[in-house]
Amino acid sequence: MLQALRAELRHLYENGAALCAEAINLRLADLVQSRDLPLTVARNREAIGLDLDRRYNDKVKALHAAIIDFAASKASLPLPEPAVRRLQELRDGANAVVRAVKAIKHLQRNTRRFTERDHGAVSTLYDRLRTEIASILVAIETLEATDPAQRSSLWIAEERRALRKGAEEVSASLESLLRARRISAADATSFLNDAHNAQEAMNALLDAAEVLYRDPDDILAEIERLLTPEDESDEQQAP
Amino acid sequence: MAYGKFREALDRHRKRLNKGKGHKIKPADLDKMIAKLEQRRQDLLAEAQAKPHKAERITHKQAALDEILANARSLRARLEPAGGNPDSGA
Repeated sequence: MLQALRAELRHLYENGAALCAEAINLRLADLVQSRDLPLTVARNREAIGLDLDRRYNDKVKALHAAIIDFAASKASLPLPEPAVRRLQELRDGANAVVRAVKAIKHLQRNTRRFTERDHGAVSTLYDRLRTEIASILVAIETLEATDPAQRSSLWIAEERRALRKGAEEVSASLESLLRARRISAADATSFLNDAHNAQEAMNALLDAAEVLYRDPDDILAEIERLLTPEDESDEQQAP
Repeated sequence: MAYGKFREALDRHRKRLNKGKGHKIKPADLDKMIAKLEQRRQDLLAEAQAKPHKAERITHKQAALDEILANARSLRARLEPAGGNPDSGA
């Protein structure tokens, strides 16, 4: 039962990840094959023509609802404690995919505006955001492709650290661009809001991945939970 | 993770165990995880050498991994103090 639910969560994640990439004019397959992500991101600026609301309804919303329904129907069964815990995790993972898509939706308009046409320094900043999102999507696909015996959900903590450091660097770049008057205050405000949305989307993608790649062995999973750094993960929120 | 936070997580784990929830972790379980973490460290070092353009990002990842590895080793030492009972668990 839990394996089937995990498979559905992976399916939901795939749909959500593809949507997140296309919302910022990137294709997941191109990113996975890329040997130079910043270059791939810089070269992919043309509008993909995604109808985000429609794709969300068709590919994410219905599947998310089915997962939540299934988890709710099993939650009333007399399951052992580890199974109850895993069931809750998988449900939280499904909620995280929805959170990611909703956060991406907020930054789609400006990201496309500043990348489909070159607006100078602000376009460079948006490309850095797109590259960060691309890095997270690729890292999660790399985990998927790794032998389950060799991987651990603890690798996600590494991505969270890299993400936090990347955000600090982007923030420093923004300040220096503002001081040099190479970016307007209005564009800087838009970027700050969108950077926040991007962080939310990336953390939500990582939340979902942390659940997906939890060790199938109950005791190793327990160790992973114990060793997962709390200070670098966002609290799980219902969408 | 900061060591203080790890201590708190460990306390919560013990409280759950006392309520009959969760799994008792034995030294051999932790050895398995530490071996995985050490292999990961080697993989990251190799990746940093093969992809210098990603070196900075990989350095951040290594720093996070090193903290996890330190906490795993600290937990391992608590489970089996020198000359202690190898069957003890957390």
